[in-house]
Amino acid sequence: MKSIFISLLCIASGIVLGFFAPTVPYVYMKYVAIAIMAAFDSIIGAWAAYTQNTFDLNIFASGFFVNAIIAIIFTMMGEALNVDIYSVAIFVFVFRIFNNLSIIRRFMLEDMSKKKKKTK
Amino acid sequence: MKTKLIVIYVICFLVAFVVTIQMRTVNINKADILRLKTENELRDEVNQWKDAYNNLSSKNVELNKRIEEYRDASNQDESIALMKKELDTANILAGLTPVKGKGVTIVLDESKAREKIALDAGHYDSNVFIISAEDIMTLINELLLNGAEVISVNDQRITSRSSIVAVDPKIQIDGVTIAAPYTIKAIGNPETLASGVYLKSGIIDKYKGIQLDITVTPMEEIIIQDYDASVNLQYTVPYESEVQ
Repeated sequence: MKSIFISLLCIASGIVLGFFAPTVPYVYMKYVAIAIMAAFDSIIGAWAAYTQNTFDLNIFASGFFVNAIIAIIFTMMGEALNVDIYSVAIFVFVFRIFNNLSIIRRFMLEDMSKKKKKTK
Repeated sequence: MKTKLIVIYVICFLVAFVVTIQMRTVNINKADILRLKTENELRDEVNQWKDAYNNLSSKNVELNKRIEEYRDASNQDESIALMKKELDTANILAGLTPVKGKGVTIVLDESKAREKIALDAGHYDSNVFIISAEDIMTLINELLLNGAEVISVNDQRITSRSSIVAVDPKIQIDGVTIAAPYTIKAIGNPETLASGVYLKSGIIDKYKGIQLDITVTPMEEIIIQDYDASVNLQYTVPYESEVQ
């Protein structure tokens, strides 16, 4: 419980600090957006892994940062080569997010049915 | 376990922080209509302005053309007048138009001199002539040197193509035989022309010793007829030099 509370505190402080931080210049909005999508992908992936009992913090942490950075680099590269890698990266991240969410959903349904059986 | 929790805390903080910043950025740029709202609208607007610019510039070109036309039209009258003047000058120089003007009339009458020669010799020789073709040429050259513009000899217009040849004992100008007395008309400044023919080594100087009747009359108006033979150029075409 304590760790969840601290996590929520961290999120709240992040939001508060985010309100006082300077905004991103327009041209870099794309990169921040793709980094956020990579982060969400990592988080949802971690959640899905957790449901499968295959969660590994090192994989999660490294994926969180490395995926974000690689996504930014790819976007820059696409910008330089005039290829819309940005869109494809977003597509891949969203695809994976939905995938993982379906895994989570399945797990939750199974969990609920197990609990129902238990109560019965 | 502790470090693992710290990593998760950091990640939570980072995600919240970055997402907040990004949302604020997006909001600000939404307010900034030019930036995010409508790239397409801006493109449309740019195209509209471009169209307007093109319309106006083509109109500008048209108006400039019209100005040019007007200018040409106003120039045309002037240039036609100028061309007419040049044509007139050229025609005069070519001897194609009768002309009039101030000048001198020089009459070379050798009849008295010939009488004297006949008396001296005791008989009249119809083949004795005093004034030669060279004399006429000399006189013409003198007149030209002194600014004669148009010259005729016995009403034969002297042009740039005129030939003066001695067909003994007479003189032919452009194939027409002329005979004494010779009347030479020259248009130009009468005083200059008159004084010119009296210069030393001139024709009058040459025949000083002989009783040759030479009268030089300055006149207010001399009429000189045009060159009768038509000018037909068979071999000559204008050559326009490529190097201007």
